[in-house]
Amino acid sequence: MAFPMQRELYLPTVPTLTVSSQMHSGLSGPSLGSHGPSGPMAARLATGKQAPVAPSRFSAASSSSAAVTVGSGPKTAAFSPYVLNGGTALALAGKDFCIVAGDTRMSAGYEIHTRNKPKTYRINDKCSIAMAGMQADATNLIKMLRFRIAMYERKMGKPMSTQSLAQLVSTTLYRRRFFPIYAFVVIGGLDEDGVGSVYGYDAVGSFERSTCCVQGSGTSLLQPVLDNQFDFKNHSIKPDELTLDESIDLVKDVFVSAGERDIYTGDSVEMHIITADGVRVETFDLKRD
Amino acid sequence: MSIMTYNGAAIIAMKGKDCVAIASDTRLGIQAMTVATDFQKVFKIHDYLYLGMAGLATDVQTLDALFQFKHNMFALRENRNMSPSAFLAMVSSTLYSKRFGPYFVEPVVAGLTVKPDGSVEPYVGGTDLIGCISSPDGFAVSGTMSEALYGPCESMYKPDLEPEDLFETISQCMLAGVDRDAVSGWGVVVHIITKDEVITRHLKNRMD
Amino acid sequence: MASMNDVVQSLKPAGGFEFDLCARNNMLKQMGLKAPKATSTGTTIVGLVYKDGVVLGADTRATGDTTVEDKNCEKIHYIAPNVYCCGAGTAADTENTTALISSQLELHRLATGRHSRVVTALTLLKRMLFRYQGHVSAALVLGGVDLNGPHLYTIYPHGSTDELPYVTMGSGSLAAMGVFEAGWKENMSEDEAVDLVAAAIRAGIFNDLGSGSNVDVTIIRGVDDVEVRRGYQILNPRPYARVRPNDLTRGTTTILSETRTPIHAGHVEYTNEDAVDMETSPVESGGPSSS
Repeated sequence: MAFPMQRELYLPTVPTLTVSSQMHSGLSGPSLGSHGPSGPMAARLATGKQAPVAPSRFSAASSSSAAVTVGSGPKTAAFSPYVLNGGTALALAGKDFCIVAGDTRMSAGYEIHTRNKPKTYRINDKCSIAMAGMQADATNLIKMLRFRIAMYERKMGKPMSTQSLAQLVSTTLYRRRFFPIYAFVVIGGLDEDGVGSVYGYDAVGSFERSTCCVQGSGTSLLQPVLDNQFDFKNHSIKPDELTLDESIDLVKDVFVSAGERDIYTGDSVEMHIITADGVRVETFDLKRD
Repeated sequence: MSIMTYNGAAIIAMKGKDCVAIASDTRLGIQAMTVATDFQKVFKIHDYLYLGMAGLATDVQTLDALFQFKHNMFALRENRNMSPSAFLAMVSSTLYSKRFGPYFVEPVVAGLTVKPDGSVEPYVGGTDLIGCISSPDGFAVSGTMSEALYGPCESMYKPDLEPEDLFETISQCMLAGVDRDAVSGWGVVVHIITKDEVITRHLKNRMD
Repeated sequence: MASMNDVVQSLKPAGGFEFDLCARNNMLKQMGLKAPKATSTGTTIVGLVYKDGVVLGADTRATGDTTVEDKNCEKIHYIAPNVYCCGAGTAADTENTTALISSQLELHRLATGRHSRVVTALTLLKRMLFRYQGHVSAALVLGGVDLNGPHLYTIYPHGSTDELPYVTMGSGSLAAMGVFEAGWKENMSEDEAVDLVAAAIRAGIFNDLGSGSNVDVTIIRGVDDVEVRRGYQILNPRPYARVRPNDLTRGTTTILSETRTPIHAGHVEYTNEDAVDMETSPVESGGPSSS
């Protein structure tokens, strides 16, 4: 357990993110850019031991403590707590089924970090969650949610309903209203009547139930396709509602379409197919370029 | 806000079997405020060639006049019309000459090339705002939310459609796209260009 | 008052860049409107010298921000019958810079009656790019064979150049260079060279998000001995076709109004099928004669 110790060692030496130009050039003292830990630890360091943190505290400009002025004035070490990992997640709701799917590419900039990081998470027999955005935040969010779902189940003695989960996700996201969790969530499941239901969110917990919802880098490509091919918007002659197999077929097609045009969508798709029988997981290959 | 999204636009051109189609929305806005709902963005160059332009509306109209002029001068001198690919090359060099002070326009052309045997070959193409040509196999799009047009086209487009089927495809792609773009829509116009006629249709769509 | 002729003259391109819109565009920028970005080719391009010549390679993806604008664009540009050039950077710049230098070289060949040399192309390109101080953002891989043998250069947007036996450029250059560093050796055969070039481009296509689609290869063995292998490897076909036909029933779209304009046959003529051969001998009587 060397990691937490290291954090304690660093604490007194780096009281703030403000660094002098000397420190910045590496002449004295550890600067966060070159020596300090990054990510959540840096967040802790930046503010010393104070607990609640607003993003603005990350810039030294708003920090009141010891800014060392040398030469042309204080320098700000910019720290960005967010990274966008790309990828697309979506959910479709049918009469008695629901499909939750996401591609499995995780990337940043022009780099692919991994080709196999599913964005879909099974919650129980009735629902799954998919998340695009920043994968570190998404992973942490699902951890928090799983904990609170477990607490609920112990207390209530029954699995959480899709509706309740929808509300729980909203409050969990809104708790971080001023330092948002950079994850774009979509929930798909069956409601208490066994009807497919989909909930889509923004980063701070605003949500809405709909029949289909796309999140992530392929949103603007795919949402209009689903509007047209799943909800049949703008069709004066409405075709029959899509069956489960036809919906799976459509999901595959739209991910392939997104893969053609969005550089962040690719590698493969993981689909959670939710029916009265439970959750079935299917994967499907996309282009790898 | 980008200059390209100041007025709002959506344009698609698509190839069919011995025919092409080009569609645009008809909104003119100043950012979020809608100013007109009958703004022309697709222009006839000659019977077999239509040019659509998305971007800054003032540049759209300036360039329409300029390209019309250039094509007229060509037709007077050569006693023939420009083929779609030649016209796009002219558009490209016009835009690239302003590489460091560009017109804020992304043009798309749709046309039919007449072959020596009298048959016609569909052509669609487009450039970016400084004239980089792309002449894709199936469709070209341009506008404030080009992704919302790419998605439906990528999913719904099929090669070698008959004019009436091409009309349904380009119309549905357009309607799907503009409904998810806040600054385009408010009417859609579609032109289907075949060997024998041009069909121009206005579509019913959401006026929000 | 300006005559019609003055107007016509003023609209004729003078050649070179025009800056008349800059003042207006700066004003728009000051209003807070952001200038848009042009299509760039986040690219993998490579070149390799082998035993008898030069092999150039490129991917075929053109991107605008994070969307793919062109899935099969051509990045290996013709410069001269014995010289080709791969381009990365702003797509319009690579396209026009190579086309401009290509035409200058063609005129030079016509004036001198000699084949172009690769260094001449190099010098013209670097001079042009240096003159524009990096604002013409073209990163090039120039390769060719002339009387002095095979040559391979890289040219950076500011006009600096390198001459090396194997080079890579673009956002996928590190992935491609990794393959070259592992697999390159002196005096490779043509097949080995093409294989290595294709492997380097594939490394870019699959590992760099800015590069994608197909591998293009051009082999330059000598003057007029060039093989342009466009679509040498088609690696990324659409992996799935929808089972349920999404044919839209005719009548799905609601039409508000319709106008039909007939086009009269023969009204439009682009082709020169009726063009008459130019007379090269005196005409006996009025009108052109046919042979």
